[in-house]
Amino acid sequence: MRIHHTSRRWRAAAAASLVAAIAVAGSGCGSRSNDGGGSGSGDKPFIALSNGFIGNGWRQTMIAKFEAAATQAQSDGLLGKFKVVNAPGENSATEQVAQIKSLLLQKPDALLIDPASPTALKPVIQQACDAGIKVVVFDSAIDAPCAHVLLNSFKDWATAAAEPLVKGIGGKGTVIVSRGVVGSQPEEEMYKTTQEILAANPEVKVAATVNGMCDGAKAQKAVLGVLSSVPKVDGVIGCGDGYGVAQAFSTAGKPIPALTFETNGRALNYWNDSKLDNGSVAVMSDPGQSVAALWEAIDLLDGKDIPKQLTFPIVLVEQKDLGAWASALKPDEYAAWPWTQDLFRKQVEAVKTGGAPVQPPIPSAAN
Amino acid sequence: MTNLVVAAVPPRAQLRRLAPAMVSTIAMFAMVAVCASLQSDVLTVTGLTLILSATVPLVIAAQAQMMLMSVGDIDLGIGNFVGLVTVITATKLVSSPGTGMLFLVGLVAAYALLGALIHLRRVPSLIATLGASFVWLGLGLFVLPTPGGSTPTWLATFGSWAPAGFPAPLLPILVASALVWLLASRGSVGVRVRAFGSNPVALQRAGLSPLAARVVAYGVAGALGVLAGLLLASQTGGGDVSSASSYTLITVAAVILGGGSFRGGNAVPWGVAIGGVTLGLVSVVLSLLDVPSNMQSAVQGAIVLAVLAGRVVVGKVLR
Repeated sequence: MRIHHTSRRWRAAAAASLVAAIAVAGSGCGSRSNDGGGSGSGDKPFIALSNGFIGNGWRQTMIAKFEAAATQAQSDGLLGKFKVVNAPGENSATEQVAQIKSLLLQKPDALLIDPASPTALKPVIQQACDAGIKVVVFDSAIDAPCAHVLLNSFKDWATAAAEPLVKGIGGKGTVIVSRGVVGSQPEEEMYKTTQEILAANPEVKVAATVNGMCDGAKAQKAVLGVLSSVPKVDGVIGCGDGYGVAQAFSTAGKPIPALTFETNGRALNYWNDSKLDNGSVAVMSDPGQSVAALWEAIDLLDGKDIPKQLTFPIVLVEQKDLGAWASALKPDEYAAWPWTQDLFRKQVEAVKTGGAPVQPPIPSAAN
Repeated sequence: MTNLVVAAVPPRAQLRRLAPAMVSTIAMFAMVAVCASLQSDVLTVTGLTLILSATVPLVIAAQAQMMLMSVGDIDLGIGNFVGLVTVITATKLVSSPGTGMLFLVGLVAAYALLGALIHLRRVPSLIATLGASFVWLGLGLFVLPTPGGSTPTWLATFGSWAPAGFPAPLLPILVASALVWLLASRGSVGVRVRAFGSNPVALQRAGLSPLAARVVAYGVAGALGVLAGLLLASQTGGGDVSSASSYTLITVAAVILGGGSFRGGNAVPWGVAIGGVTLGLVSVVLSLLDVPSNMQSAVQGAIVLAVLAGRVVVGKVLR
């Protein structure tokens, strides 16, 4: 009796396990049909991109721009195959290390990395270089001697955020400083730059310093918290969180001061529609860096000589360009420079010779 | 005594205990098979080393979580704790190995102390370990505000160790699981810990100290957490207090996948090892498949849910 019983249970268990296994295999295979990469051909390069975090609009734009440019390069015959892998979760370096390791198994010719951590990827990058893969790290500095690095200058970012604003309020008045992700390397550099600029303008007083985390919603809460205790604010120096800060000021019923907006369509259109003309700017790093990194990888695979460290221009939207940018962007799309192979090579020349950085054209709405 | 208990367990109960781990085992082999069909190199020693290495710290951390879940507690601080260990490893252990070792031993002691505190003050473990997680995070940020540092040479050597005959990551997984199995499933200490998890009153009536059982479970969990941190640091080559924050909940999932339960009383080290590897392999499968970038997180979640659902279905059938 009991034997019969057990064997029935066993069969049921086996059936259930099979269902689970099929579910697992099926969920994988189902997605396989969405092969965006196309077929790889013999001598054309296979380029993979590993991205440490996909949870914000900037990263979404960065990936979208890369996929568009890579598809174009593929049909132009410059690229055999490409692949984009995003680490799930909250900017997890461990997940990204695991993903890069499995990418190594697929033997790409070049690997582009937007790292989740400036240090944790060092060993795996070394492993990739040892396997003969060209590695281009973008958007963040990394201490890996074998990798090429392409980034935006955070010093430029902080300067472009604070300087026009200080000038816009006439070099005197009261400001609030909204800091970014405190504890990260870029933020430290940016905060230092901001402090230098403020030290050079002694008539600008800092009424409060808050942690906005470069996030409109968080900055809105943080600024709202201090608004009642500060008298009159002429400007808020932040890192791409102006839209949220503007909401905080209108909630508190105070006039909107000079702000540093994010470079997405929503913030730029708000700025454009509200007719603010008080020294506000919109500045952020360029999500088009992924496209520039693609061109760098292609040129590196061609054996071209490119410096290990490339600094590319940030995206700064001033009052005069506001209309053009605002009409070209969807609400959640961030302003990105449209790097082409030609523009990329010009910028590399500019870096080599120390000349003025290339100023790519502002994309039109048709793009 | 242990033998008597094992002999008295009816086959169905034993089956019920092993079935969840079997589901995970099947899922794990299915994933390896999917990977191998996409990329035949996966089945070579190098391939297995590449796909398994990232799961090693996760598996060890999951063993730590299992120790606490076997007494019916849940550890919400293990992720930050592992992160803190990487920070200590990347700073103190390099500059002055002796002090660094002392710090790590101190961390294990802190875990045991936390267990005693939870027991004596009757604080819910969820609250106490959540509070502790902020302490670990704060200490980590204090010691190393921005990610960086370097690992001691011996640890880096171990991290890049690649023997020809077998995949190196299997060694720490097997050794740690075997140790935990000896301790928690075979030894008398393990019997006390599990007895405490399933029926603390009976343990007390038997003249044994529930406090000691809990402290031992927490101490072992702390030691395993330190081991996980060391192994993570050997792979990342530096310290970052937030590098393992995702472990907190993934380890709970690994224990459940491996056949553990929230009620306590179960110690399933081999199941947890399989559950941890299964969860670690999900992201490998995803990057081998050409899943559209925006879908990857969702597909990963769906796979985890599918495996967990399989475990629940099996559990229902066998009830």
